[in-house]
Amino acid sequence: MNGRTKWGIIAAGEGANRISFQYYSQFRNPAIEDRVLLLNTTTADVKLDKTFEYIISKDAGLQQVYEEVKRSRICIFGKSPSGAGNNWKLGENEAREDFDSIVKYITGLKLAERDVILGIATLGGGTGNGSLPYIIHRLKRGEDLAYRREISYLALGIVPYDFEAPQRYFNTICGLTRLLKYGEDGRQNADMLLLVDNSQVERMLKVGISAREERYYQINQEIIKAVNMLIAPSSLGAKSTIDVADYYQLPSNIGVYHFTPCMSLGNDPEIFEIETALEMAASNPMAPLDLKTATMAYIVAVVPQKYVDSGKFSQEDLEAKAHEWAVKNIAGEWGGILRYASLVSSKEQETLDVMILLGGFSFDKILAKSLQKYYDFIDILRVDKGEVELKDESDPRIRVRISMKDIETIETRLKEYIALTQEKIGKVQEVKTDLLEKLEEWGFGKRRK
Amino acid sequence: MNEYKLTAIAIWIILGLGFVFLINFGVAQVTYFGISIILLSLVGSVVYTWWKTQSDKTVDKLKAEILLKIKKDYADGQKLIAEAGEMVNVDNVRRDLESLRSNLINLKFYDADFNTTEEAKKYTLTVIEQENRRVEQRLRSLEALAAIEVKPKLDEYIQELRVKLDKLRKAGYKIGEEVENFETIEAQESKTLREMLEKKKKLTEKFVSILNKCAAEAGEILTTSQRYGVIKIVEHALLKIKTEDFDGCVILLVDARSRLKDFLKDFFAIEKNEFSASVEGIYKLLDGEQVEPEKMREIEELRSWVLYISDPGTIGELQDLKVQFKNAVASTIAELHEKLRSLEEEIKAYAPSREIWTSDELAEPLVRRVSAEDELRVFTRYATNALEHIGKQLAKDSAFIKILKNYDKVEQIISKKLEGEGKLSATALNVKYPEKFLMLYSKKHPDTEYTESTATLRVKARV
Ligand SMILES: Nc1nc2c(ncn2[C@@H]2O[C@H](COP(=O)(O)OP(=O)(O)O)[C@@H](O)[C@H]2O)c(=O)[nH]1
Repeated sequence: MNGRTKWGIIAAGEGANRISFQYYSQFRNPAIEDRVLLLNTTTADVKLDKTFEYIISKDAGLQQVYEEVKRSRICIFGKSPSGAGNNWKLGENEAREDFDSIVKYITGLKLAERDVILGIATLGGGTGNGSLPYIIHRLKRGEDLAYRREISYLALGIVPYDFEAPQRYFNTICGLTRLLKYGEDGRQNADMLLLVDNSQVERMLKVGISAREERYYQINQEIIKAVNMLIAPSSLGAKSTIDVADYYQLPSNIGVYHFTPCMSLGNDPEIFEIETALEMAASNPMAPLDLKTATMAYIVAVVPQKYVDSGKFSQEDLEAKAHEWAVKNIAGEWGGILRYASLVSSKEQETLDVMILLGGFSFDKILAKSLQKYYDFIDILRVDKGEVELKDESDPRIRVRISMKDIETIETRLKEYIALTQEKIGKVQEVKTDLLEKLEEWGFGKRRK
Repeated sequence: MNEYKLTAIAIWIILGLGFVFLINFGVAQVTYFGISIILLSLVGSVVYTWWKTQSDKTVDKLKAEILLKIKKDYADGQKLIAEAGEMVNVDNVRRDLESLRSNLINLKFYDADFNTTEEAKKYTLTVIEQENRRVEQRLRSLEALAAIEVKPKLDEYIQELRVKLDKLRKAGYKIGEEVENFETIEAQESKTLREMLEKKKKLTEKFVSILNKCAAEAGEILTTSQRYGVIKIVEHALLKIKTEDFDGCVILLVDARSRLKDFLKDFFAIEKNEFSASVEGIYKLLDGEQVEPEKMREIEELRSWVLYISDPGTIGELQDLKVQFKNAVASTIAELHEKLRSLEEEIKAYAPSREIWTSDELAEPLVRRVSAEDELRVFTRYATNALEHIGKQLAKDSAFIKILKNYDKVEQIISKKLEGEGKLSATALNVKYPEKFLMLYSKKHPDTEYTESTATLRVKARV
């Protein structure tokens, strides 16, 4: 890798804004530094203050960070005085109308060729979910950024809690699909889509019932850790670098490019072996999934420098263990179709941290809860001249029209993507083919006779 | 001359004034004038005569001072040259000095005893001053002549002292610093006879002080040696030392030192061996992970000292090192014991089952028995016992606390692995101390049991 790849975070909508503010106020990953941009629709300052109120209440020093963020890191877009409400279509429209000012802010991040943009949005809302797919599409396909084609666009989508209302799931299905495919031709949009599910992370964290803000806060901390782990293999301590492009190039070729991080952090290296850490990580996926359907696995282990020096951990050993683990746990006899492992040594860290980025898994479990609510929502829509009007539950002033055709297109695209995913899973799982038979078929065996 | 002219002019002016008064005011007035003039003249001449004698006296005083200075210069020069004469033959210089003196006597500046004469006052100040300069110059050149003779002799003298210092140092006396001071003085520049003689004096003083120091050192070693026996010869020899006799003194000192060394050799060897055995034995028991780095460094330093020390004369230092070592080890043991205690407190907070862990009862009495007051052999035995026990206990407890701290995570793994076959062997659990985790698990989950012989955990059959 020539020089360090720079990362920039673009966080659209309230939930994503909170995540990046939490990152901005606590961490400074050397790859991201302060390249964080918060996007939100025109709303009164009061609303912004409310968004960060809880985080700031945790630490008086953060008030100043907030002022700083407000001064230079927030881009307010759109013309509607009431914001996007819960309407993704409105969020998309606003972004389209005000794209010039968005681009200005993004240019301000000073990214260059081969850098990475990580877009974050909650899938249940309107602003982020509506605008992020559009923004990624425009940046990637339009002429707004000189270096657009050289940039990698990763998207992180946050799936709502199990208990949230149907409209949120309508948004989720649409947003998820639009991050995967967008535009007239329905081509691939984000280079890679990372999925995190609120309820799943909460189960994993074993958070008891507490205030909503605290629950978000804790989930967001985990998301930040996952982002840091994602970046680790391109850092200086990596024994085998995984470049960002390595993450998504092959998946994009295959046409299946959704992933979910699974982490096991803070382990005592004196007690835990890599095998165990992998097992623990795998039992903590950040979105519900069936391990046996995962066809891709990227494994990142961050370990204290001294254990690498002493030979307790090594890249070779990690690869061997990763292979063993994958064969036993993920799709197919060979342990998936794509696997990378990267050992990163750290001078600052005392613990053994492991992340497995699982990809290509079946959408079954995620859709199990979404789909029913999605259809419930569609069913109650009143179609008028091939269009439906969506109203915001909390603010009836906010309304927008979507054509049924658009909704159908989205549905079809998702179906196609799911079908392809299932096909790949099936193929990988089936590779039980008798090799001898295959060889004979190719003529090898016969020649011997 | 001027005095007369001035007087004549004054008389003429007075006469003129008298004539002018006579014409203008008449005889009666002029008489008053005349009388007062005569009185004034009388007072004036008395004052003048007094002033004149005073100034003549000043010149005489100056002459006397210069004559005295010449005498003093001569005496100084004579003294320096006499001192030089103690080192080298300077008879010709001395002869020239003598003739300088007779010359001054011939001139009648001084009498035969070289005291100032009355006749000398007949010479003008200038003549006396010129003679002063001449004598100064002459003395300077005579001193320079003497210096040329003295120089090689002084070098030789210094060389001799250095040889002696070397002998003392080789004998084992600790005079490194003093020798350095000596060399500093030696390096100072000395060009004139005075400087050379001054340097010689200073070096001699320094040398004497070194001799005294060596004598004191020998005395100290002698005192230490008396614990092992009596060496009368050295005792007498030290009493005989006279620092004025450099040669004799150095011989005595060197001899005393070597006799002491011989006498102490066996004792020293025995003590050193015993000491280093103790140090090595204890050092082996110190775990770098447990002992504070500062303590470790202190003991390592003592250890290298013990290895380095080899002169039986330093047996006293060996004793000091022993005390330091015992103190360092005793406080290390106390620290480790404290560490063990706080680790136990930490473990107790988890309230582990008594079957798995019990607090240690042995360390306390073992530590109490360690005392730096004890003789080294006794001390070493007790310290070894305490260190062995505490070290083992610390290692065990540090592992155990790690197990406790990580138990929650491992518990989940065990539960998951048990789900399948209902049993789990230690080898299948990829963590350190798997047996301990399994055992702990069985204590917390009564529906499971752990078999130590096979290191397997299994779910009890339901009845
Ligand atoms: N993980 C997480 N989810 C959030 C947070 N805030 C809101 N959400 C989720 O995001 C959805 C609402 O979207 P939000 O970001 O508030 O709306 P937007 O501003 O219109 O994009 C719901 O499904 C919430 O559960 C947050 O701070 N963290």
